[in-house]
Amino acid sequence: MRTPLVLAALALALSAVAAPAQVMVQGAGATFPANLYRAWIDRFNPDHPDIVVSYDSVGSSEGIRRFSAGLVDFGGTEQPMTDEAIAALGHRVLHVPTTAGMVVVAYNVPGVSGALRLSREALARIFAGEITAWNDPAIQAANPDLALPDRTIALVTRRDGSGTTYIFSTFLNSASPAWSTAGFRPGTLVDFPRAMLAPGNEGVSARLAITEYAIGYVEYSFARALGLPAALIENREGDFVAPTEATGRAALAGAASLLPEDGRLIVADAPTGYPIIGYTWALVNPDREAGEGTAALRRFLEWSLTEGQPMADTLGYLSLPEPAAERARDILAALD
Amino acid sequence: MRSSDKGADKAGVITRPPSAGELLANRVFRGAAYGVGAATLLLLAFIIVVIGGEALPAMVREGFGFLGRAVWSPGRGEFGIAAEIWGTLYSSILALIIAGVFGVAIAIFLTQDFLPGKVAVVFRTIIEMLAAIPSVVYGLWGIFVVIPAIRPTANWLHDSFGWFPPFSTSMGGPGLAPAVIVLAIMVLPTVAAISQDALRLIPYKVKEAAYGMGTTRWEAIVKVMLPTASGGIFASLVLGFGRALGETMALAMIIGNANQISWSLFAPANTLAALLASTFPEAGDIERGALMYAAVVLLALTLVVNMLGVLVMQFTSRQTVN
Repeated sequence: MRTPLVLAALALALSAVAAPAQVMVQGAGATFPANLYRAWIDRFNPDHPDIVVSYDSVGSSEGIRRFSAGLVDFGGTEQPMTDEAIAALGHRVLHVPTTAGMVVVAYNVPGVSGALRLSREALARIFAGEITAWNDPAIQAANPDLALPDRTIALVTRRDGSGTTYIFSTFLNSASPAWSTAGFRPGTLVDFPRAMLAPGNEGVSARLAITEYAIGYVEYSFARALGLPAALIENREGDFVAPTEATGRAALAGAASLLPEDGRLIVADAPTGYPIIGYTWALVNPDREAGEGTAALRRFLEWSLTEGQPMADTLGYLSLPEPAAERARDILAALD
Repeated sequence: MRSSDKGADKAGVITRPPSAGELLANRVFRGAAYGVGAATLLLLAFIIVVIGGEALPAMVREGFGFLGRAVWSPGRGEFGIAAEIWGTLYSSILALIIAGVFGVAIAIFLTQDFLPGKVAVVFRTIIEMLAAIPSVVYGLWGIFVVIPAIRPTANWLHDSFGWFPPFSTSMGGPGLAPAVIVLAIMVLPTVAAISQDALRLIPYKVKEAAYGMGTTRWEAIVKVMLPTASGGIFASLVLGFGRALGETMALAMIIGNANQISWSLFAPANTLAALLASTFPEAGDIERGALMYAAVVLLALTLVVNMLGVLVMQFTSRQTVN
C-alpha cells in the first residue's frame, strides 16, 4: 500500500524540480463544446509546456455557477448570462464566442436510418409529449416512404442545466405554437414529459445508443461519434434540412455572422440552412487580477480563436465565420 | 477455559483467583465492547440527525405534499417523489416475487436431500457469490445482456396484449422490466441463504416423524417443512425487500430515470435511491434539501422493513428451537 504513495510523492517532487513552473487554467461548464475543448487542450498543452489547461464538462448552468463563484478561470455556456446576473457579480463579464454548433435530433429506430424528416410542428409536439408513437400521422405525413413502427417514443433529455437544452427549447418555442400552448418555456432546464434523464451530451447520446425507439437532442459531434442518425428538420422556409457542415454554415452565415459588440446573440431559429444552431461562449472576468494566470488564459483563448478554429470543422462544430471571429478577438482584447 | 487449564498444569494448582492483569484485560475488553456497541448506535443516530437536519427546511417547506407529487423540477423549484416512491415499491415488490419463488425453491432443493451434501455446498457457495458481484457490474450486464434479451419478448407482449396495463407501452431500452430482473437476481442470495438456514434449523426428527406418518416427500416438504420454516422464510423475504428498496447503482443505470408513474413494465421509471445517486452531484441548494427529504423517506422505509425482518426472524428462531 505504501510503496505507490511514496513513488507518487517522489514523482511529484521530481517533476516539480525538473519542469518549469506551470500555470493552471481551469475551465468548466457546457458539455456542448466539450469534444472541441478537449481536442484543443490535447493540442495546446503539449505545445505550451508552461501552461496546463483543463476543462470539466459539467453543463452550462454549473459552468455559470462555478464561474460566478470564482472557482474557475473561464466558464462554458450556450445560454448567455443575463444583465441582472452580471450586475449581481460586481465585475464585468466577457462573453467570448469560441465556436458555433448544431443541435441535432438524434434517434435510434431499428429499420429507420438517415432520412427521418420532422416537421416543425411534429418535433414540437413530440417533445411536448403529445405525439407518443412513431407511426403517428404527424410524423408519417412527412415520411411517406418510411415504414415507421407502432412503438412508444422514448424521449431522452438532459437532467442537468444545459445550454444544449436552451438552444433546443428556444428553437421549439419558435418552431410551433404547440410547444408554448402545452405550457413549456425555453430554458436550461425543461421538464419534458415522461423523458429519460441523462447527464450531459455524453449521457444523452450514450442513452440513445442503447435505447431503441428513442429520440433526443445532442450537439452534432456527439451523435456523429456514436453513429446515431440525425433527423432532417424543417426550417422556416419549409425545407427539410439535414445537419451537415454546409447546412450549418449556411444557417450561420444567414442569421448570425454579425455578432453584437458584447458577443451575446441567440440564434433561435435560423431561416436558411439547418435551423437549430447556436454559439457557445467562454465566460471570462476581465476585472480579475492581472498576472500569469490571466496571461495564460488569454493565450489559450487567442490560440483557440486562431489556430484552434480549423479543428472545429473537422470535429463537427462550425468554426466562427471571419466577422464573428474578429468580433471574438475584439472582445477578448478587453482581458489584459 | 483451555488456556487457564494449561496455566494450572504448569503452576501445579487447580484454581486460583484471576490475576490483576486478567482482571484489567477483562475490564478493558468489556469497556471496548460496550463502547463499540454504543458507537454503532450513536453512528446510526448521528446519520439520522444529520440527514434529518439537512432535510428539515425542505420538510417544512414541502410538507407531506412532497410525497404525493410526481414532479422533479429544479428549474421551477417544484419537487415531489410520488413517481420515485411508486417506482421503488413497484420494482421491489415484483423483484421480491421473482426472487421469493426462486430463492425458496433453491432453499428446498439444497436442504431437502435432493443433492449429495458436497454438491449442495458447491451450489450454495455459487449462489452466495451472486451477492459478491458489484452493483455496477449488474448494471452493465443489465444494459448489454438483459435489455437486448428481453426486448423482443416485451414488444411481442405489447403487440399482443397491449390492452393490459403492465404491457401498455413498447420497450425500447432501460425501464422497469430489466430493472426488476436484475434486482431479483441481486436479492436472490439474501432470500436463498436465509431460507436455507430456516429450513436447516428444523430438527431432523420433524421430517422423520412426517415420513413416519406415511407422507410422501412432496407432502413432507409442502405440508410440514415449509410451514415449520415459514417464519424464517418470511424474514428472508422481508430482508430481501429491504435490500431491493435500497439498491442503487444497478438501478440508476437500467431503470431509465424518468419521472413518471406508469403501470407499464416496459416504460422507464425511477427509484428513490437512483434519484439520489444520479441527481445529487449537480444539485443546487434547494434541490439538495429536497433530495435530503427523499433520503429520509428512503431511510425510514428501509429501516422499518429491516427491523420488521429482524423481529420476525428472532421471533421465529425462538419458536423453532423450542
